[in-house]
Amino acid sequence: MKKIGKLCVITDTAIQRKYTHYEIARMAIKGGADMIQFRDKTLPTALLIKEASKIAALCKRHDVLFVNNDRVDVAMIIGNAGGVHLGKEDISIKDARKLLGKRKVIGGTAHSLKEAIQREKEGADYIGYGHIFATGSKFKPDKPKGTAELKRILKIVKIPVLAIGGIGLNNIEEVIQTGVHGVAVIGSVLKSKNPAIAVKELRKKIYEK
Amino acid sequence: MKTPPKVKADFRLLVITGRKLSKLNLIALTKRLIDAGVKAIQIREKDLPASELLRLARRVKSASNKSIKLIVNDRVDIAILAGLDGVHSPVNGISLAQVKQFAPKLICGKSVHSLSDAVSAEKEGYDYVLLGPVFRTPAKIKYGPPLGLKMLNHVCKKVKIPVFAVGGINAQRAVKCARCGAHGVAVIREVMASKNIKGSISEFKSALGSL
Repeated sequence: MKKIGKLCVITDTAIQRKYTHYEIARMAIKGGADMIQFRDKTLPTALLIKEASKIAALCKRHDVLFVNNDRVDVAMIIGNAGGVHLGKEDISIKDARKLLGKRKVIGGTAHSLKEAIQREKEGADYIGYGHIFATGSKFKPDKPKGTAELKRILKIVKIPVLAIGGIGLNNIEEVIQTGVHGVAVIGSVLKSKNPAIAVKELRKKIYEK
Repeated sequence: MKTPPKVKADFRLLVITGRKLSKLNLIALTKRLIDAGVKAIQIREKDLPASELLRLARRVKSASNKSIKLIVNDRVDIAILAGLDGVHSPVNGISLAQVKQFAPKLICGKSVHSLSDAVSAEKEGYDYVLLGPVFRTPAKIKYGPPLGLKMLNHVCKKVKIPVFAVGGINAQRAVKCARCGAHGVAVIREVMASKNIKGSISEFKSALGSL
């Protein structure tokens, strides 16, 4: 079984401009994040590779899992990538597996039980499921899923699930109580005054429950 | 094990796709291009998400045949999965070394806008360069004034790898580019927006001597 982090921080430079991807990763690791997802939807390939390489090397030094969002090519090219996280519009998990091999971590997004089962069947190592609560990080036309629906999924899906969407210090206990493997966060960390401390506090809730 | 021979830029006309400029879907368009004798197609659909681009590349590949080189813009993962022949690196795109690391047999082209870019692309080991814009074209106005035929001629003298002129190319201009030493030309609009694809391709064939 591959080791999937329990506290994943997604680097997002669209919802805030204060920190670069690398700075986010550094602060997150300092605060105790055990997984980083590098996400940038606008940079050209050469710059994505450059930035991802730096962050992946940092993660490796700290024994933190690095996953690259969307781009399988970038994950292939940078040697240190732990894996990729794939959404619906990306290359399929099956195809990504052909390129990345068995050992790399491949995560998939699911917005429903049906999608979660599908991701598991396709061979995902973990599922990012959400959004659990209302979130400002991404435009979401559909309603938040809530923790009751999350619980239902956890009963059926065997691979680790990371809950995502609007999770912060105020509601993380409710999420952890479902028995979910871990959480992925963006806004609650990046919009806080001190991201490293925000991560540290979230970590406490996960590991000292 | 016998290794397959390395793919080379043995074509003169590179047709770059721009599905929004064409009334046909890309599969129908590919079939027309193949029927017209085109030898190289570059799939360049930057706005498509990866899943759709891969689906499209696979469909183009199955509509294609061995005599056609299929090259995809920037994405080595898609090239490998769809079994294409090459990857084209735009400015700030994937590097040659990165492509070769995973797919040493793929043909690799590079977009360049100056002599120094072209010289470094040759040094790095690219198989060919697209130099442009040589003429004024609506898509590339943001890159400043066109380079012109003199610059094309200058670059062609300085580098040994095939130089394809790009930017505002039509059949008449293709003749001029070839006279300036260009190995060939790359076109988007002139073919994509053409009402008579077969006719356009045959004009390019006469202009360049071959496809």
